[in-house]
Amino acid sequence: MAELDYVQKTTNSDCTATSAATANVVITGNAINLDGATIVVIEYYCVTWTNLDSATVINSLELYDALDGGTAVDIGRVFDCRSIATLALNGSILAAHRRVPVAGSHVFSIRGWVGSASTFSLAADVGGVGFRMPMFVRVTDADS
Amino acid sequence: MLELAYAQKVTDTECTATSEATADLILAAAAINLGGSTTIIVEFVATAWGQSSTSPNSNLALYDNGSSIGIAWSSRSRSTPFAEEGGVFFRRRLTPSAGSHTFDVRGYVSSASTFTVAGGPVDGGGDLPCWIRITTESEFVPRHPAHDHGSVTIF
Repeated sequence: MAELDYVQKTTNSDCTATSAATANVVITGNAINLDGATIVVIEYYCVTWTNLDSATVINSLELYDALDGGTAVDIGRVFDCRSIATLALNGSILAAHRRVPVAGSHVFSIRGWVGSASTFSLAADVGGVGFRMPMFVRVTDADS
Repeated sequence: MLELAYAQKVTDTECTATSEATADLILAAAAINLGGSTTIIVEFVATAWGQSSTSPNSNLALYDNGSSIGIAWSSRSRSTPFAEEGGVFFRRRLTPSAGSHTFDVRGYVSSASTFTVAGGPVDGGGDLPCWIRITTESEFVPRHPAHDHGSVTIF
């Protein structure tokens, strides 16, 4: 397994969009060139999350891919969950998807949205004593 | 991918410390020697966790040579007492300084309560061991369009 890309983020992401089509960008990877035959695993991790306003709204993450500099397209949903309670922390998220992307340049991004008006907040910080670790998106080559 | 260290624990761990500074040790990996330019992945998995109360936050922090390098997981419990709350997972990618590094995972709570991290025997039925694992890439292969240089050995 070889790492093809890694991007981390050290600030929280608040998502308020109410549809997958308009989802808020949480984190975006770098462009990577793929040959159409490479099996990749795209994974996203964050330490914890909450919904600031609701325990009944569904909080969702989508994986997007922008091919050859074009408009990013929603590949599919990688996370769906309600919060334990309003403002409660809900443990970590690890979302992962294995696929064989078509040949070309790919920019993968994770985008969040909510089922109805509220704020889905994904936590990240710089790490160290008293601070949460960064969230990240990572792409690995499953074959090598 | 190379595995540099792996440690597992086959018993539950009860964490009652109420601060990161005094967090209870869950398990430690063996010391590893690194050159200062090696990027590693440290990951921790437990099959389940529980809490004696639904109001505190339960937390896990990752330590390197006895110092916390960050909060890696935080959650409140859905129900009590000690309901099985599902798996626990975290992953951290980092490039440690040159020298010997001992990574360990510690737990603490935000107010007086007991945070239990599950661990059990292999092949014994019930929960499997919780574990910490450290891996590295044998090669880093940049494939960014602007600077596609092929393989670069990092050791």
